[in-house]
Amino acid sequence: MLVVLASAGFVVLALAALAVVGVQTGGDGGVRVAHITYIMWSAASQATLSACASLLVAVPASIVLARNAHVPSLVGLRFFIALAMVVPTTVAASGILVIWGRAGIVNDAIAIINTLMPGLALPPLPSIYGLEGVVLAHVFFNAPLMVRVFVPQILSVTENHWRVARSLGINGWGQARFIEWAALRTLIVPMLVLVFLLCFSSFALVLMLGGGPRVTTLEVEIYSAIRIEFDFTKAVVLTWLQLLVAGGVVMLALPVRGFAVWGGRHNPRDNDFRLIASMPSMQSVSPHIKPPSSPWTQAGEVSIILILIILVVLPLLAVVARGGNLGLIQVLANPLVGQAAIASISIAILAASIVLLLAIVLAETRMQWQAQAKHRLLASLDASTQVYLVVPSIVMGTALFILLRGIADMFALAPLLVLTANVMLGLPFGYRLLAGKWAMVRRRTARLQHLYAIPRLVALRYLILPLVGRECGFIFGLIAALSMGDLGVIALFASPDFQTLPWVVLQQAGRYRLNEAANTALLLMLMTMALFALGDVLGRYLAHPPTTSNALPKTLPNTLAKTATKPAMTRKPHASCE
Amino acid sequence: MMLNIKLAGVTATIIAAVIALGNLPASAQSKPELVVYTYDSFSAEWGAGPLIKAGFEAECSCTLTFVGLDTSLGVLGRVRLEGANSKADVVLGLDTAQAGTARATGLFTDHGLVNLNDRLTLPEASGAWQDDVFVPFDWGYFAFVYDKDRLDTPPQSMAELVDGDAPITLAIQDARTSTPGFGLLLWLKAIYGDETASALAKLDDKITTITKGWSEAYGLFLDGEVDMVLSYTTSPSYHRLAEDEQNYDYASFSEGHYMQIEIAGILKSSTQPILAREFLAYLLSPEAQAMLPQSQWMYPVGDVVLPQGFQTKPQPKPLLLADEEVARGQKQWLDEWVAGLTAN
Repeated sequence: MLVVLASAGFVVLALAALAVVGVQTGGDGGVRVAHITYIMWSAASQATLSACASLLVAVPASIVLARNAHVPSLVGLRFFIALAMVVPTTVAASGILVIWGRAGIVNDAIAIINTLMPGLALPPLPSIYGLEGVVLAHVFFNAPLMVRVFVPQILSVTENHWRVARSLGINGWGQARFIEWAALRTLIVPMLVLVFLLCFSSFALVLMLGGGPRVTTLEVEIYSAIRIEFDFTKAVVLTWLQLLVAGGVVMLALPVRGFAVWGGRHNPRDNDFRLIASMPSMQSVSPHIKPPSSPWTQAGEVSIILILIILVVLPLLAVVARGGNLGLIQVLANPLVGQAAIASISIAILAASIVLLLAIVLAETRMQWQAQAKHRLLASLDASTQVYLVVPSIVMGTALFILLRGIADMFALAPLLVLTANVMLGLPFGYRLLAGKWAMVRRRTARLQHLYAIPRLVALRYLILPLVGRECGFIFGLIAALSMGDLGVIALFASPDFQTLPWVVLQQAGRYRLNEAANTALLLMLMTMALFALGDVLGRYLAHPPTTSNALPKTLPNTLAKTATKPAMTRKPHASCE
Repeated sequence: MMLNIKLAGVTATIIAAVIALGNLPASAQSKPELVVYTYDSFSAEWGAGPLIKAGFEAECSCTLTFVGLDTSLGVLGRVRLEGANSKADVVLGLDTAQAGTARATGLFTDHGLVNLNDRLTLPEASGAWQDDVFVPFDWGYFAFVYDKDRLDTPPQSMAELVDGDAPITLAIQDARTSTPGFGLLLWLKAIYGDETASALAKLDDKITTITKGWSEAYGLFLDGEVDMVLSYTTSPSYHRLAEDEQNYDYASFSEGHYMQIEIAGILKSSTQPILAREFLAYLLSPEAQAMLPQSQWMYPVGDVVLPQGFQTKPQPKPLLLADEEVARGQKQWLDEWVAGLTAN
């Protein structure tokens, strides 16, 4: 509760501080209404398109990946999909251009075809720069995010459904319609809103691929207001505007069933909920999940996998190819890079741990409020945790600076400030990804815990964590990876003694050292992957309670004890797309 | 709960490590310290910062600390926020486009260097240096850089670029987020005056994309995504001298090229005003000036011999607007920038 109040309160405080300084420094806050209207329209339509396009890719991709969750040869694809979520934006953008750009692979291929078969005279690709490029890049980032949420949801459909489907002879299309889509339905709007918010406040990517101010977001104006005009009042006005739009979108989506909980169902009387809650294992793959194969379903699956490879895997491979040369060794040998890497990893691990703990606390709070029917509190909790998604980091950073100047030594505080910012930026994801599942698992295990008077901590380790451990691991990995790539706040607080790896990339690129920057970017990506994998390891650890322990009460019947720990044992490695 | 104990242990260790990292070089020294705020790539290890630091410390018996700040809030924004409490003594790396705004803050004191023009070799057309507050330390021209292997006939003038039919593609930087981008806006302003917005609207047809910073646009150019990129006349010098690549050049425009003069100034709040002045004097010395061409990739302001191959063709005609004019006009000009580029 305090955390929530503090987090929401901080944003208000930050904006107020900025506004006060704005008035002091004589910013007039004047904005051209027509221009701002245009920006809002541009950002909103771009974000809507991006969210819908991501969904169009993510739903079929999730169905195919879930149905083939037991296929080992798709491990690589799952891995790249997980990676795409966390690559620094401009690094990914350069990878996308290697494929789709004017001098990209696709155009090279067209040129080769044209030389071999002059009769064809294929036209080159239309320019990627503009709305198309921005949407394409946003799909690259956000379709994988959706897939990561959708696949476990499909896999959590009970064994019975798949059995019934097989005995009724339902084909692939019917299964998609009646089982898989039904499972995903409640997540569609929440994920659309999340992706909309992310795209609405996108910045460097929009500028780079947008082709000019026609495709734009409010963030550019906010940046300019602070950087060139030093008009903080204007920055605050624009930030409030951005918050209003985001709040409006969240409000519009509120009545939609399922919005309140992301990643799970919230109505205990819902039949689907009971089915899910009664099943033994959340992520093991049913042998009956695969519909009878026909040429159509096979062609469909192959083409969706191909689309994923072209859309997600190739740009990432391009990044690897660009940075994976001898220069990488030189970069590794550079003490500055090593120091920055250590600082980055420390911050990332700390931020991920704190976000995970906070997310658990918030999810528990949410569950209890829900049980007590405190709907208004619930709504404010949900809304306030999302605020940071749309507060530009330059606003956050400048506000932090203003609040702390005079009180403390900014350079000594730099690591703490960067950590705080990363926690705040990660919390919306952590909370969203955990809250639904947590509530479900808590309800499921509450009776058992009560019946056998299991102490809280024991229940946490042996009843609850086995069921949400994987989610916790994923949150840890995701936040660690996002913090690793974050450039927003460090930009304002970097000092000679404290630098992070993304900051080093930026510095290298800033003075012609683009090759070195590519090397360091690859190093950054590899370390991000390692942190992501660490999250997976943590998830497995949390999901597998030590079996030798006799911490469970003796009175607990053997069968129940087995049920409680069973999911972890039956879970197959690589069962989801992590 | 073993796990929680372990986690707590790990967390505590990492917190300690982070705090230690933050405090590492805060070693107390008896020597006076001069703190210089600058932008990130100046203080980076391959920038001019480390060279200047070594050179100045050899003769000042002091510690010179460069603090590299990012370009978003910028060096100027930072000292404006810190006001009289700033830790900095000297601010290095503003440019003439910011000089008017910087002077108006009243945070800077006179540099106190006499006979400055005897030491400077700025192009004659830019006039004698008359600024009592800021000292120039290097300078360059904005220019469109191209690859001779890919573009045979670059435009000979801004007018040809703006009005011509040649299917040239450009990457530029946004004036609202980047120094060269703002430089292009001033360049067009110096040539087109009140017609800047319509010139931009015409130029827009050739612009492939507009990036947030210099490095993104330059990267796009090197990757072959565009024919020309907005950069500096000295960019080809970098490719010639540092990479031994001869195929890059800049297009000389007959109207002239807009100048960027980088400047430094002493803060009123400095506790080391004498040392600060000595530093500025050192910055103009032949020794320091000779370090700049191949670290900053800009022209030195002092009378030093340029490295072989640094300059291969006659320098263009300089264009420069008065800094007060820039300070007055910038807000409206940025509106024109957006209007021009969204007109079509």
